[in-house]
Amino acid sequence: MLTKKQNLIDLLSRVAILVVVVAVLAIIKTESFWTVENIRQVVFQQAPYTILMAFGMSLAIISKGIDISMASVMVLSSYLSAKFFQQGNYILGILVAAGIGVGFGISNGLLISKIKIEPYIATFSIDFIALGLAYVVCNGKYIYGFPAGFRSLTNGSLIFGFPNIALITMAVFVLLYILTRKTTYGRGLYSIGHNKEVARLSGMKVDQILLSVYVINGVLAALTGVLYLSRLNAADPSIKGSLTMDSIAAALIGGIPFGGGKGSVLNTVVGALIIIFIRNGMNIMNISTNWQSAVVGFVILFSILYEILLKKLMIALGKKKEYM
Amino acid sequence: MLKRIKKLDVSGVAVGDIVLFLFFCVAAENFLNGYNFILILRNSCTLLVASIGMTLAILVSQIDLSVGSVVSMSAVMVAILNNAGCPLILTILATLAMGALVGLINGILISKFKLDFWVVTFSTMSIMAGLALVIADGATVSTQNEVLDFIGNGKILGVYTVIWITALVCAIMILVLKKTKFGYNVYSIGGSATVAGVSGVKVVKNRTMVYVLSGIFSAISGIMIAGMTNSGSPTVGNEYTFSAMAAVVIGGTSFDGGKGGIVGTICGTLLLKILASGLSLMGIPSTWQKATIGIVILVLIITDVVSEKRKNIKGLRRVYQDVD
Repeated sequence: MLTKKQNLIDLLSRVAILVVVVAVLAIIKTESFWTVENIRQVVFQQAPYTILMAFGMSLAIISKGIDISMASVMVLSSYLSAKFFQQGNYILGILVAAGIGVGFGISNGLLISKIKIEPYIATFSIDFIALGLAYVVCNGKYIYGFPAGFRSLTNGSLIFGFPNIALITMAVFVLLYILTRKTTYGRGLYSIGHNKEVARLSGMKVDQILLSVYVINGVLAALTGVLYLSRLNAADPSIKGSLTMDSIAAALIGGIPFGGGKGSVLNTVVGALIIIFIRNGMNIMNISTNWQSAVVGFVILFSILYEILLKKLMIALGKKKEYM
Repeated sequence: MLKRIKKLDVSGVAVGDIVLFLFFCVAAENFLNGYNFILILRNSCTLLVASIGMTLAILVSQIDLSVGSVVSMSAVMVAILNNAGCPLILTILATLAMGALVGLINGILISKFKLDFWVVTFSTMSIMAGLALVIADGATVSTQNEVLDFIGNGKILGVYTVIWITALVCAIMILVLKKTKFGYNVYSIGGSATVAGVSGVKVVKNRTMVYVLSGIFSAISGIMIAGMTNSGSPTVGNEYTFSAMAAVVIGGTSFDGGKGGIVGTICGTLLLKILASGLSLMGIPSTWQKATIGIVILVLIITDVVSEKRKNIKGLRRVYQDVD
């Protein structure tokens, strides 16, 4: 009961950060930031990519791991499937993208669960390989110009007012929320994050669950890659950009600490929105893109310090209750 | 017994170096000549000095992800301060101080405030990478200075100055790790921080020292790069973190901590550079090299982890037999 209340307070405090960020921006730059058009653009068009990637990162972090390779796997899968989408061969394109995502996910998962390499190192190497392959395949050539049907994946809107990409993100969110919060699988995931050894001793299939986490991440990366293709109308290896860092920052500031076993995908959405609004605000205020990496770094540092503060606060609250 | 195993580890990498060297002598045409050999040595210097810091961090069973961006930052800083007319000696001292400061921040946050070392060094990594971009305004800063050029490209007694500097740094650190109390403490903290702390080793102080040294070595590496290229690029260090990690692990310093040392790291760095040189002389296009090196590194890391596990199991078996 208490933990449920604590989680709620934690989440609400993150929402408060989001509100503060938005309010500050709205006050400083009322005319260019606080418009329906800009907010819609940010929430429905820019945020979904970061949110989708951050979902994967959150799952990895909840299981006390990390997945550095997602952005590169996304680049590679979007690149290899681009040709098929261009020719209108959607099924093959989806199969190729998903295959790459699952393939790299399995190799990440096996390296981490079976061979027991530190998640950071394993996914870092896979990141290196995937990006290297992407550059090999790309070889300086860009693929651009996709059919209108494929473009409507992000441009169009099935329900009025909600672009398709926002709908897809919501569907993924609901799926992941149910998967992590309402199933035995989800319980296993959280208990692995708390203590792997205890989870193993209580009969959970730790290796399989870990493997599945990274496979899910691969699929999410592939999905994001395909959506990116549709939005940019071009396949370009530089779309990797700062997505890895953004998604880590989103998970951390959203309230999914590196310790593992805490937070939910709802936290991820809040965290991703914070990051995206900060980036949008910096663009509107004409701050050089050079600053953005440093600012995201500061956000990560801030979020770990915030975590400590919050923990101390919770302990103080708990104590007070005991005395009363 | 333990000493013999340690020696075996290092000689394993050394044998790998020689085998790879011989392989490229046969496979790549212009590989076997004195000029190329010296080129490999010279190219290894900057990575090697940066890897020494990483070796220390991994020896205390932690990691320093900020190595690469401190390298970039110092290269940029040297170029900018030099262009501003600052005397070279002051420039170098300021750069070293910057490295030490970043290390100090890392060290204090990690050992004093007990924050997770992945997150802390990840955030200092992104902050420093961002700041390097900011002060360089996103582009390479070129600079002219005779002494700086001498550091990078000059020769003393027919051998490049960078090789002298690197040899000096390596020799000092080998002695420090072997002969001083600090070195002894580093190994015992890596073996078990709790045991070391209980037996009176000042864990917090020594760990902070390790990060400070790591920052200083990264700064030295950045200064050498600025000298070699007569410029400071804000992205020059981007791949140093991964390469340094790989060099250390290949050199037999395991992530468990307390095992390995500088000699292994020297062999590991040489292995990476021989590989890069051989691949490009074999005419393999540079786009393929990134992926190939990634795969080779991953294979080596897997071998390291698997053999480590096997050794542990063997050790356990011996313990059980002794009990019987």
